[in-house]
Amino acid sequence: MFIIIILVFSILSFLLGLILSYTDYIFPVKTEALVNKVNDILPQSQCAQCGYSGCYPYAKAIINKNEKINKCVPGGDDLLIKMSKLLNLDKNSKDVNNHNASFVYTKVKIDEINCVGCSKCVLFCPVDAIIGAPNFVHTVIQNSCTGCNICILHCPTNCIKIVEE
Amino acid sequence: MKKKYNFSGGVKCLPINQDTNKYIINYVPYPTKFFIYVKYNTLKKNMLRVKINQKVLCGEPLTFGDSSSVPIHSPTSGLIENVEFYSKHVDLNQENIKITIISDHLEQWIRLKKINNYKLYSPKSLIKIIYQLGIVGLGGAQFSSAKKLILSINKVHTLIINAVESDPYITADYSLMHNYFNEIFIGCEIISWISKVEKILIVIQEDKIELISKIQLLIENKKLFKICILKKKYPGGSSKIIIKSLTGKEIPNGKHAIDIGYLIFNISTVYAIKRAVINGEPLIHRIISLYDYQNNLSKNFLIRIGTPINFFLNYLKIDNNLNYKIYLGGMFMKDLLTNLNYSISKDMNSILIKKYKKKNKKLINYSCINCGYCVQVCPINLLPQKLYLYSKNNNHKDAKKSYIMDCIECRICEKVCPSNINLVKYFKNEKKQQNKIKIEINQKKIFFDLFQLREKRILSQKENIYKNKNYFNHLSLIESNILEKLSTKKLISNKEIEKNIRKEILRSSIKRVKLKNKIL
Repeated sequence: MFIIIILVFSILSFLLGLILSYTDYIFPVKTEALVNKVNDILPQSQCAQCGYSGCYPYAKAIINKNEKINKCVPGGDDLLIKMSKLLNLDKNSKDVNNHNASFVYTKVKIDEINCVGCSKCVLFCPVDAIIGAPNFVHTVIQNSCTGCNICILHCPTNCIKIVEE
Repeated sequence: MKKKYNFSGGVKCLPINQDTNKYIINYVPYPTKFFIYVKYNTLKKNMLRVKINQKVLCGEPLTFGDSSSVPIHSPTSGLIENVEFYSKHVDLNQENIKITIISDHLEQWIRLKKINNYKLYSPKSLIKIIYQLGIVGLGGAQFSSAKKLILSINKVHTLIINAVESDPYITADYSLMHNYFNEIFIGCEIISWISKVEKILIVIQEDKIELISKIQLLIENKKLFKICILKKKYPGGSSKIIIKSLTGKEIPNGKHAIDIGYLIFNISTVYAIKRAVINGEPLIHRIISLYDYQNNLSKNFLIRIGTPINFFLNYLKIDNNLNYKIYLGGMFMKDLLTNLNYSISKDMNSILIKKYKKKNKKLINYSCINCGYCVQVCPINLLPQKLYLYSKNNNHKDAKKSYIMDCIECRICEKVCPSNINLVKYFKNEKKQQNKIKIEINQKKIFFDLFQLREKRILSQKENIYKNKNYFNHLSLIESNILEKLSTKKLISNKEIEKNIRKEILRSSIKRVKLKNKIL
């Protein structure tokens, strides 16, 4: 009696295992989940100091193209340790860059008297936080500014200033 | 005998000898200077309604209200001396505005709007009156009660009136019930008419026998009211514990009591709502109980909001910080007061005085031994020893998973702990960290969504331009070819025609010349 029960369940589990392995072969899991996990750790300031256009392309490059993980400047040492834990890498003492330990979110404001409305800063803002038409005054939406300071380099009249929170 | 409601956990307190003069409300004379503190945000710059050197009347609004805060009214008539920035005694980072008023001791009121029959007004206009007269929850949370009433319309079936003191030796609410019980009944009826509830429950602890018998005589004929008696234990004043002990339901994590269908008001808030709707008075004064450890000076006082604590203690002939330690809050939830110029605000409940002694033993903090006393005592069934380990090791994920945000900071686990660990200090720090992490994750999500939207936009723009370019190029190439061909044909034909015409003209002219010669 017991032998029959054991046989029936073993055959059933074998069949189910076959079905599971077959479905895993047909519909493979995409690797996008790992990219999203790396992207959640990154500080999302979209500053483009790593050489890529934003944080999501950098996370893609880390996993698909074997990019180095020490290129994020605002993240600092904490991000290196977190990333090496998540990806199971050995962290070398050379990789740790000590100069930027703490990261403070800053924001940017436009001096509206001196703005001439050249609309150069609008083209380079990575999150569309600047509003304005050509030949009119431009403003920054304070809630969606990430503090990446890209727009300061492109202003011809030097009227954009950094404001601390 | 009626059924007594109970809850798990908690500590029984020793009763003290109750004097009859505790229920009498005492009065304090008005000081010459009032200090009023207003919360300040950077976004709302034009919140102030008054200027320096302006005359104000008693009950005149000082600020405009917005969606999160209610307007604040002046407690006396007089001159405004100064308006400046000032930081609170607990949080140095939070910026406040401090308004000083010099009173002229004349007590000139503004004209009050009295309403005799409140049933002629619609509920929305009554809520507007409650909002404009600046009434907040006086239990300690300082949540705007007009907002609570707006949320509760067509959602709530029972109203619970909270007459339980959270700390054992405070008697402010009982003295209010003792003196003004008829007015509290009218306040209950106003709230029930606004939000249309079916039941009203009054919750009282078991040792107030006189009050229970008095209430039972009054509510015999009324069907709406019902009385509930709670057992005397220490943490009983919180809304979570009262709902769980009365009904057995738990509030889910991150939701409010209104979502289940219960509306909770403290008893002093009900009294303030009655005074606002029927008498038209703004919220200016409240009852504060003073407790002394030697039990000589403990009394209840009716005080105007804005009187400095220094003046109040000088009137009672208590010396300053040198001889006494002064705390804000009750026996268990107390904070040491460092700045005596701080004034009495709306969320203050009681003041505690203790004589200063030089020989104080230093308590040594030993390490945790997993004894489990704190788990048996906790009134909302948390695990304090696990939370302590997580918060000490900065393990934020596991601390959030074991519901640290539901802790009400009652400090029972600290009292019971045999190795003298100050647990609530760790929990407060952990709560601040959790709030910071929550805000950061929200910001990251918003930034990432904006970035992806922008990439989509740029992609679609490029596709559009590319498509249009191809289309135009293709068409223009064809069109230009045809045009060129056409134009060249036309040009050639035109030239040829002109040539032909000239030739014909020439021929005809030659013919005419020949003909002339022949004739001649």
